[in-house]
Amino acid sequence: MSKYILKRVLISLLTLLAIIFVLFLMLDYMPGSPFNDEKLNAAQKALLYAKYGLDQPFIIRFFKYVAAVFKGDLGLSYVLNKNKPISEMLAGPLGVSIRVGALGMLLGTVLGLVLGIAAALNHNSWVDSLCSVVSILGVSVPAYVFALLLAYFVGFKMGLIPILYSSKNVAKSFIGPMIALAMSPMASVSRFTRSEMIDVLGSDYILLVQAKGVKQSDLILKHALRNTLIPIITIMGPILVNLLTGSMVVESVFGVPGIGTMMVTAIQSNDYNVTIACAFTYSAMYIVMMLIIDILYGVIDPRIRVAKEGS
Amino acid sequence: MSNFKKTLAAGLALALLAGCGGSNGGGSNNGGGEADGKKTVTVAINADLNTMDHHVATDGGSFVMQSLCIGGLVELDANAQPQADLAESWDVSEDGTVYTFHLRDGLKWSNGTPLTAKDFVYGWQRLDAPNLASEYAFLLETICVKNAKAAFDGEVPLSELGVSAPDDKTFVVELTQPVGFFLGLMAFPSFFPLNQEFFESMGGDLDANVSENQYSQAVDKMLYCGPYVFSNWEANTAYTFTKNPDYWNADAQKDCVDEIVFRFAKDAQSAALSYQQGDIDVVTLTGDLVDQYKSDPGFTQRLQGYAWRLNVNQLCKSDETFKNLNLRKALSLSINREAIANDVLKDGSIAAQGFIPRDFAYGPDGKDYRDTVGNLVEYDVAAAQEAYNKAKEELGTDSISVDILYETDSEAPGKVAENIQAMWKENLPGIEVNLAPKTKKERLALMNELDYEVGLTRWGPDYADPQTYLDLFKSDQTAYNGYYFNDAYDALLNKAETGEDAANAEARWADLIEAEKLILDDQGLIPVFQNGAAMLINPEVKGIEFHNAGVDSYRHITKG
Repeated sequence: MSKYILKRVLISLLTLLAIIFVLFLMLDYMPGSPFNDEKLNAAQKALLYAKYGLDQPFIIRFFKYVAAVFKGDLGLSYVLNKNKPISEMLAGPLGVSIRVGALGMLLGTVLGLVLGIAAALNHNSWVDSLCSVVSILGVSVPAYVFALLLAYFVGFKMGLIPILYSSKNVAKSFIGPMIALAMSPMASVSRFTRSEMIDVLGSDYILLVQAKGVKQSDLILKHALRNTLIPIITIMGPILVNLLTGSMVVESVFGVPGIGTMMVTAIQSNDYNVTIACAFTYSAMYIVMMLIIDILYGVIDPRIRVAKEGS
Repeated sequence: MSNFKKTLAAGLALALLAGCGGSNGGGSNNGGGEADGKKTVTVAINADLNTMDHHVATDGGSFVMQSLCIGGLVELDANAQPQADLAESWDVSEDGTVYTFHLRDGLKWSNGTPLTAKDFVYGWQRLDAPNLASEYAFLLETICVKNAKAAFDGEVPLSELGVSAPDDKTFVVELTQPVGFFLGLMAFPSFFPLNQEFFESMGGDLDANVSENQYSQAVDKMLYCGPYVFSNWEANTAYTFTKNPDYWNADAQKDCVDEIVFRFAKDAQSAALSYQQGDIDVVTLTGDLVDQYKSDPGFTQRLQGYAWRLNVNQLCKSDETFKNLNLRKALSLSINREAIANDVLKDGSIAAQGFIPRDFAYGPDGKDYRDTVGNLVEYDVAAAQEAYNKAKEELGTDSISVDILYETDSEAPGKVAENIQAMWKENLPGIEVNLAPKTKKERLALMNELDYEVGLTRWGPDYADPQTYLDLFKSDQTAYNGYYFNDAYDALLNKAETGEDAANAEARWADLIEAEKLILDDQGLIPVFQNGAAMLINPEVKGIEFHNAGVDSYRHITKG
């Protein structure tokens, strides 16, 4: 198992390096410059380029950057937060984004499981139809629409949650974004749970368990759910990606100081270092998540672990 | 049982994640209110705080906050006139080239250090330091401070810059020629003082590497001398300023609010809803929200100094037709500017009457420049068609096509470009008009390379004088206005700025007026509109001073 994990970690690191390279290349081809002030003349621009080392050739900049990243130095911001080290800029927003994202994912997964199981158990009844409607809505309506609806009805009309994030009341401020972000994972998880559960419930081993006279609740939770979870864990990766991209807009609606807002502004203003740092963080989060999922497979279904170790 | 444990664990994890910040249920939380008898005004800002380093800042939001907690020799009053602030009085030499400022007694920084004339000298030297490469260093050149350019180019040491402190209370500025708008600019943050000792204790050095400089990176890493101090820096969220008891004029400030919070809210709709709930006092609306909030008692419209225009690129490589004066004339005459301002934008914007906007520069007689000169751009379809037909004849072609380049970062330019397209198509039969939407940075890059036909662009004034606009089209300008060359225009401006009329306010003003008329006759640019902003301001909040040239002031606001 440890050899397997080590291999996965090494591959992940190489992937991250490749991602930095591609990001660097893409930013190099982006039109415009970080110094967009119309009042700058050519000489001043040259001075600024030299000051931030942007006058050097692409390859030298890339290797310098990678070397710095290994030392934990993500460079300085040119535009967003002038001359501030990005590692400092990122710390707070990243924590906020991860908390909101994790909450949304957790809530969505739990709700999705409940809905999916309920639908499977009441296959082809009104409960099933209701669950389908809920999951279709969750999949097709973008997170920011839910965010706007929540902000307007629950926040403004009912006054139950703050419309804009407040650091004095973090718990309450997280409710809106958390629910908005939970909708899409909830929908995906519930659809998958439903179909898997129906499959599993029809399988021979369940028949055997039933024949042994196991209680219905134990049958579902102990025997059926475990097998249902495997495909659901597979879709966690794509769900997470949806969550991350959706979070940018949700963050901006609720004024949550996360890295989504920061990344959008950075891209718009050609703040190269901040853009790379944000995109890099997103990629790293995604890769780590995939790693965890890979490892989880082994935990949940020993057959997979054995197969992978053998190869 | 194990399932129960799992559920419990999940529940706990949820509670842990949610509860980290510690909760205090209920109640109005961020500002707007009067908790503990403190008066707070919360202002929504749609761009995040960029920097508190006043020599590095380039954006309005940063300047507003810096003006609140630092301060200059003068400050602008409600009518944009300079009033004494840190300087008590000043003398100007007879030829208008030496300004001697006398600082007030007992000025001190927030750490107790006395604020002296040396702090101004050091601040100005830093602004000009080649290693800092401040984007606003050009201001020193604009106001003609002796050796500003030479020091910036590294030809002479910074100590040769024309500023000095003969004693702790006297700050002297030497100019190479009289500058009419000099005093007003002294309220601009780039000219605020900086304490050398403190700056160096933060790792700052006029020649040092930027990454080691901690100055202005946190509330305790900078010094204050303005009516407020920066008390809480919540990155990406909120910026809180509280009253400075050590401000020289603290007594006069006693009715002003105790606390001003700038709340970053990118989404204008959310900010407006918070305003309705009473959590926010000041919001700038986007165009799409104007109709929705027009009847709110706090709905306010203000005019801004931004003048939008079309640049018609006479050096366009792909299309030489724009060298034709009659074509440019036809394009200008066929734009219904009133319709664009009043029916399309509806946010308080007004139709342009020339290159120089309204409500921003005042002549020696105290009259608004625009009132003196009047309207120089007309909407006249018949004349437009006549010019258009002449142009077609001169160019020997019937098919004329125009591409309009505009930016998509905000909504207004797109709406304006689409309407101009429609007006040209309607008023100039047979013309082909294409839209070229780009992001702002792409638009700027294309325009700087003169790779465009017609570009919708704007300029915000750096100081309250028409020169800030007219200089853009001098022949030595290389950027995106670099297609215009007119010796007569250059001569007029040189006469006004450095030549025989520089010291004579009336003659100088007349030269500037003539220059504007000249470039508009040449159709060197096509003015379109001056933009306004629609805002919601809590009717209880009074005293926000908007300055079209310079920085908006929240220094003296009251509530209730």
